[in-house]
Amino acid sequence: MECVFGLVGKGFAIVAADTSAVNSILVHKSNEDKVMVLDSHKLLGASGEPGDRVQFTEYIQKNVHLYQFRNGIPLTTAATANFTRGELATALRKNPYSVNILLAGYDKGVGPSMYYIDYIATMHKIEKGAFGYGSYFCLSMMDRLYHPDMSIEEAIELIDKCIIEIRTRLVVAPPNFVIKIVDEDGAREYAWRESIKSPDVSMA
Amino acid sequence: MARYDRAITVFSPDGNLFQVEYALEAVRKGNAAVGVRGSDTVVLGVEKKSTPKLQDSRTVRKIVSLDTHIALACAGLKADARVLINRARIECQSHRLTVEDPVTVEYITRYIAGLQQKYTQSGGVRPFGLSTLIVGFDPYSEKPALYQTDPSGTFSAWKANATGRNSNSMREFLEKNYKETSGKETIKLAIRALLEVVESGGKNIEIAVMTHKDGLRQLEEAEIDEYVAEIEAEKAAAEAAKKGGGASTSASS
Repeated sequence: MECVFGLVGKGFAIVAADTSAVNSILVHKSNEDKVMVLDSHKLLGASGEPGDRVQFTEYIQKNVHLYQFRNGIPLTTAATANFTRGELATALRKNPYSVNILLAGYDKGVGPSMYYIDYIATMHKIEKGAFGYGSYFCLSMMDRLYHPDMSIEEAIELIDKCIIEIRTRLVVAPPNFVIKIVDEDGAREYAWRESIKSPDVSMA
Repeated sequence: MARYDRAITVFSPDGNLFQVEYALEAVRKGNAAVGVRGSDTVVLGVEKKSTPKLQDSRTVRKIVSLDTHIALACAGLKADARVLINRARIECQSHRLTVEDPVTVEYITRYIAGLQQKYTQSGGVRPFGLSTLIVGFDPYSEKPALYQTDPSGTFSAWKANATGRNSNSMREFLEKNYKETSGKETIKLAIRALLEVVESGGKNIEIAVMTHKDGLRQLEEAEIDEYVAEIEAEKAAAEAAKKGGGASTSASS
């Protein structure tokens, strides 16, 4: 059961996602990165139909890059979110994408921001959000413990609490998670939380 | 003669496509552009015609990037350039999307040349009136490359080339003075070639340098002035050495 969740802190935004790639009862891999680095200052965490997820997020990423080459400046987070929502909306009544998205970005002058975009092109600008069965636990945790302008340490503590909650309370809980952060210095991987290490990694 | 130049799709009896020839004329009237390939650096230089006082010169970009590792300069009809550059940028991203790899310099050159050729073989259209100089580094091999395309749609790789106004003089200069260079020497060679046909000074030249590590960098006017000063000093030193050598032989005899 895929989970993507995130929150906005003081001068940064975090997106975390599980890293399991599953087909019915088979786990293909436990280190699938579902949080894409869209450009220097944007993160796109996506969950849903695996084919749609990759296809749609890569399509958005290349169009974001194209805009930058054409215009010499990057798209703002808000513009990217609206573009993404627009693409989902256009495809919705023809061949819809089954992808849920949490888009986080940092814009100079505006600061960090996060957008919730679901598969039927609902869009909300939010401070904290979550998708999937895990959201039942994450949203409650965040409602209780989140406050505006959290520091990175506080935010990571909250993310970890959410991960623990998912691991203990969700019946088919994903073992591993990736946490990525975006702030004025850019978008980058922050940490992995692994409870099952991939065997081939140690073999190599 | 005039009967065979109306439509692009008509050959003349002696095998010319006049519209393509005329497009090449348009290129010859365009601003001078030069490209030099070094061992670890590629340089593009363009002549900057005097800026009108009220124009915001920052909006006139003559050397553009097509992708993080590819840059293009051109001579000829700038409006046609916009169209080609836009199509090329789309193709660069499209290629990355479909095969998850950045384009090679040769691929994107072939694409642009292919577009230019298409417009020499269709009804009701005219060729693009520009020649392009395309530089970049191939992904994975990290080898630098310089290519040129023209309105007919032909393309080839070069160690150094020039196009636009007085391109013949610049090419002659490059043929005489080309040697394998790297870093600053490559930049100086490009500037020296441009200075053959352009009024001296950073105000009249636009230079962009690309390395594999740092991508494309447009040089500031002050930096270009520094290079120009260095080049003039070297020229003066060479002149003095020649004169000095002549004087000593006459003194001894």
